[in-house]
Amino acid sequence: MNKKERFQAVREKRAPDYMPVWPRVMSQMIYAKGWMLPDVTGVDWYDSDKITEAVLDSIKVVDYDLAIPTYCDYAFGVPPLGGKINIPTKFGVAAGTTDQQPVMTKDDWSKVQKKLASYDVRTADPRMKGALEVVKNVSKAVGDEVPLCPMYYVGTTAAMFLFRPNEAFLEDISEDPEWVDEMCKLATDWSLDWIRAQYEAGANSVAFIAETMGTLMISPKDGERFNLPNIARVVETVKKEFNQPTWLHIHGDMKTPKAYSYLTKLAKEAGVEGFHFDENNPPEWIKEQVVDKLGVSACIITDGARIVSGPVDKIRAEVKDWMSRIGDGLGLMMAPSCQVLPSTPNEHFKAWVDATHEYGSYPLKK
Amino acid sequence: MGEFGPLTQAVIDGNGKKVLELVSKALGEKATPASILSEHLIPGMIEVGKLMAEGEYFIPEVLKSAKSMNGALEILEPLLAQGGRESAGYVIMGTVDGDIHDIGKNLVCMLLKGSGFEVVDLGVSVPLAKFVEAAKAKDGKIILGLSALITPTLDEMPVVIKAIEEAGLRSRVKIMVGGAPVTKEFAESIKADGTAPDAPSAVTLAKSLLAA
Repeated sequence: MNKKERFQAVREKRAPDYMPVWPRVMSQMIYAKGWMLPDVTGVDWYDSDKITEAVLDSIKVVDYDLAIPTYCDYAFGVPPLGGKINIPTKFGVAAGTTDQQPVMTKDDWSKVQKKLASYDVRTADPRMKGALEVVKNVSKAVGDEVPLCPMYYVGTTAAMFLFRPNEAFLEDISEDPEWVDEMCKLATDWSLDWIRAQYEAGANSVAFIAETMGTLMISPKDGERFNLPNIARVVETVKKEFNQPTWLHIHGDMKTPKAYSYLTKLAKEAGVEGFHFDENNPPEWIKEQVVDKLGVSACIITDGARIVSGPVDKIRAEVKDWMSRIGDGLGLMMAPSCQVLPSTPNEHFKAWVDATHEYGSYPLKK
Repeated sequence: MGEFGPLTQAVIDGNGKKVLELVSKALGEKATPASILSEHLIPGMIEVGKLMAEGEYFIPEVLKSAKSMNGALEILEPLLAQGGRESAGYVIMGTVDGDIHDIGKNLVCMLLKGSGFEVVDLGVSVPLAKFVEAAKAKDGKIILGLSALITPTLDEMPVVIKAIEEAGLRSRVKIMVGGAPVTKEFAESIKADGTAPDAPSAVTLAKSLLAA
C-alpha cells in the first residue's frame, strides 16, 4: 500500500498493511532539520524551499504517513488584519507569536470586519503566500501517493488566533456571547477560504481543522453553541466543493457524559469523519467509544513524555503495549501528543514511527 | 452545589458588581477584612475549584469568578495590610521565556493572593536571569511558579530549574510548573516539585510545598 491507500483503509475501517502515523507539527519538522524559526520565516517572509525540504523529510526520512504543509501557524493572516507578530528567536517553533491582536477592544471590530470583506488569503500575507508555495512544491514532489491535507483552525480557536487576545476572548464568551458568535462565524469563513486556497494549491485529502479549546478550556455547552455549527459548515462546504471529508483535532477529556454528547453531535450532526484527540483519552476508549460506537475514524495519541524522554526501547515497548489494547485496530491511526517538545531527538520520533509500522502490522497481534 | 451565603454565591457566580456591593456592605457592618476573605471569598473560590474539577466550570467561568474576587481584593488588601495580616508564603510567578500566554498564570496569581500569599508576578516571556534574580532577592523558603501554554516553550522550564540549582537556591526554592501541556510525568521528568491540573489546585499545591 502507498501512504494514501493506507490512510484510505483507516478511513474506511479496513485493514491497512500497517497502522499509519500522523505527522508532528511543523515546529518538529523544522527543528529536525537543525533550523530555528527565524531561519525559515520572518514577519513578512517565508522560505518555501526550506520548509518544503522539512515537510518532505518528514515523509521520506521519518516516514510519517500524511503531509500537512501548513501544520500549523497561528499567526497566519494576523498582520493584514492589523495585528503585530514576532518570530521567536529561541525556539524552532512553527507559530509566530502574536504580540498584538487586531481586535484589542470592541471598537477595533468594525475596522477588522472591513478588512475581512476584501481579504484575499492567497496574497494578503506573504507568509501564507509562501505556505501555498510549500503546498504546491510538496504536491508536485509526492504526487498522488501521499495524503496532503489542508489545515487551519475553526470556531473559537480560529477567532482567538485571528482576532482577540486569549484572556479577553475567554471573557467575551461569558460577557458578550453574541459577539463571540459573530467572531466565530467570520473566523470560520476566513478558515474556509484558507482551506480552499490549499486545495487549489494541491492538497488532495481530508481537510484537517483544529479546535484546541475543545473541552479543555470551554464547556461542551459552549462548544455546541460556538463551534458545532461552524464545524458543520466546514464539513459541508469541503464536501460540496472538494468532495473531501473533514477531520477534527480537539483537545480535552471527551469521556465525561457532557463531552461525549458533544462528540456524538460532532460525528453524527456535523459529519466529522475522523478525530485527532489529545492524551486525555486512552486508546482502548477511543477504539470502543469513538471508532466502534460512533462509526468514525480516529487517532490514538501517544504520551508526549515518552517520546520526549525515550529511550528508544521504552518507546517501542509502549507502542507494542498500545497495539495490544485496541482490539482489531480498524479505523485507527497513531498520532503524537501536542506535548512533544521541539528539542525531542529525531531518533525518538523515528523509533516511534517505525515501532508503529512494525507492531501495527495487520492483523494486529493480541 | 451546596448552600452558600450571598457573598460566597456572588463569587461562585462571577458577579463582580454584587461582590463589590456585598463587601462594602460587610465592611460597613464592621466585619473584619480577614473574615470577609476567609469566611466568604475564599470558600467561593474553593467551590469554583470543585466545580472546575467536576467539569461544571471551565476557563471562562473561573476567570469571571477570579476577577470578581480580585475586585474585592483591591478593596481588602490595603485594609488587610493595615491589620498586619500574616502571609501564607511568598510566590514568584512567571510565564517562561518565549511564551506570552498568561491566563492560567493570572488565575493562579489571583487565587494565591486571595489565599493570603504574597505574589510577585514577573509577567510573560520572562528571561531566565529574571527568575534567578527574583529568587535571590527573597530570603527563606519560597515558591517559584513557571507557566507555559505552548508546547515548544516547555523546554525552558528545565533550563530555569537548572539555573536555580546552579545559583545554589534549589534547596529553599520550591518549584511548581503548570499550563495546559504540563503533565505530572513531565513535571517529574524535569525535577520540578509539583504541578497542578488547575488554578485552585495550584493553591493547594503551594501550601503543601511550603508545609513540607
